[in-house]
Amino acid sequence: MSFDIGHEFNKATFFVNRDKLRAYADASGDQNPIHQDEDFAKSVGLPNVIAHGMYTMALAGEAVRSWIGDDKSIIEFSTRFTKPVVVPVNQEVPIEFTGKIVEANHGEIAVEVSALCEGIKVLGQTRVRARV
Amino acid sequence: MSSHGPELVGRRFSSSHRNHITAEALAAFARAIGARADLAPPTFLITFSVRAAEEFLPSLGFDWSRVVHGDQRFKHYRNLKVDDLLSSVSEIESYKSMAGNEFVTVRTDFAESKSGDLVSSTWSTLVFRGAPA
Repeated sequence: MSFDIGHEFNKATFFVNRDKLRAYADASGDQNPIHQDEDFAKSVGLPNVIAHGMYTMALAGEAVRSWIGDDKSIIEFSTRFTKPVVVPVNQEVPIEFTGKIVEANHGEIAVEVSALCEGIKVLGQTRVRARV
Repeated sequence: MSSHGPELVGRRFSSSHRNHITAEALAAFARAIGARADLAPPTFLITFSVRAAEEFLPSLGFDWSRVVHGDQRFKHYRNLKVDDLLSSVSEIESYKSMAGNEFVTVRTDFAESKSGDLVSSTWSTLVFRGAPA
């Protein structure tokens, strides 16, 4: 596979639900109730339970690994958390990732990633630098 | 509510936790994000850096129940592997207060416990929302 500047990767879609948020909370140790408890989330002014920003970032990482090969080393990864991913009960909420190579030299590439949830940008300035 | 200022920049903290990458922890994290279990996902260290920040910032008077994650960055100097034992030092790199919210960026450096070689650095900007008036 060639990694050239301007190359755009195919859209990768991940579905988020309450069970997955619970699994991520257990695996990551982030048990903030806004990610699991609807009443609590609403009591602090959120529309509903929201996904961990770090869960969305981890999925962005998996999208990139699916594009470039999961054996490649990711040496830098950064993002801003712009909008929450709202996860109502009994729903599969899609997050769509697209990516584009914006730098390529000396065996390293930088991929700019965009993440949309129901048309809303949930991550901003997401960039992965990898050794290919 | 406590008030903080730019004098916080440069405050350092060494976690008392052993940052031990076990096969079980790695597999559970990988499973939760749908990744293969034999390679550390690039965000895995968040499990350690959040724990460090959760010890460190409340000790300076930040209210952990009002925290939201603003941004996150990872830099990896080598791949993580099972049985890595890492020491960590966290430092406040920037602080600002805007419209009643406090923005704190914490850098955490992870090094091999034995050799002291730097393995990864993480940067987390945590936003502490002001209490409602």
